[in-house]
Amino acid sequence: MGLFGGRKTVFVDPDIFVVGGGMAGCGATYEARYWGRDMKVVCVEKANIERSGAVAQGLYAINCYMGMQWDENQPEDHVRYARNDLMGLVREDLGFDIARHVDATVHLFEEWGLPIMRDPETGRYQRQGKWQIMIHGESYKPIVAEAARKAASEVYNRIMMTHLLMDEKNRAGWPALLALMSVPAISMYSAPWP
Amino acid sequence: MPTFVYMNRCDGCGHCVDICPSDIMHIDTTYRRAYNIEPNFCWECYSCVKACPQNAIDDRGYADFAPLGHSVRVLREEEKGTISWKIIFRDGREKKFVSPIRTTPWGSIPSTADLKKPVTEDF
Repeated sequence: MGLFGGRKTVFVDPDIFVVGGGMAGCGATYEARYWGRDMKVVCVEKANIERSGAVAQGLYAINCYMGMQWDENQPEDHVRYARNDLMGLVREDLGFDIARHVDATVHLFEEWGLPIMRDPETGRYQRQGKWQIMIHGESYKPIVAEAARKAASEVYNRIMMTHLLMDEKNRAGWPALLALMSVPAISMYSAPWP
Repeated sequence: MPTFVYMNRCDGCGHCVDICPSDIMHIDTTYRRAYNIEPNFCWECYSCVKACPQNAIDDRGYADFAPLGHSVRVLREEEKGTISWKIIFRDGREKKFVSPIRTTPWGSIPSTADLKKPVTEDF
């Protein structure tokens, strides 16, 4: 059997196609299920969504939490901070739109099971600086991946998106090339494609 | 600072192969054991170290900046919900850390399908 000899073509036709299963992709998959309740949501990731993306190893902080529930910061403050940091090269409206959703997302992570460190006296999230909150985030990605797995109709791991197929007028679809797994994938499942 | 496999402990199960975000843990077909095929690409995320059921994978700095004698060992106990680290410095000092990794049981995230469906009238 040659390198591609035993492979077949699988056609997948989702309503919502999430390319990438990192933090953003898993989040998008979860949101896609909320808004597109009866749609077919497929997430495709070149590694394994359990640990893929930049948060593989876990994180000990969330670097951008407003704290609106305790009047700590408001989205406007974050916009000003971003503007300062990027020397004015910002889209303030987009920055505000992101900032206003941060708190709810963090609270959702905590509901899912992400341990967030709290100040024993005030009961608020423990901060380290104006924006950062401290978490026990070793399993940050596995927790978010679980939410994505529950939300998606299908999750394809170890699949690499290679081309955007276009016909003459508009997009027809994204073909995927099955990422060539290391050899054990072939020897462990004796015939991957019957 | 890449990972490496103790071949005598490895049994070729492939958990490290499945979890590696960089796809650099592969199984050597001759020895039927896992190995890091591209140490340059390793970003030391410790996913394979944590995933190995035989605890056969370790992580070690390159010898030019991290001479031998140190040790960083990790044990992720998913059911207990903890991650434990044992760090041994070259001068013999030891530090141990245990941290929680999750406050809810694994698999307990509710499906969005149970939430109220958003309708245009709500907006």
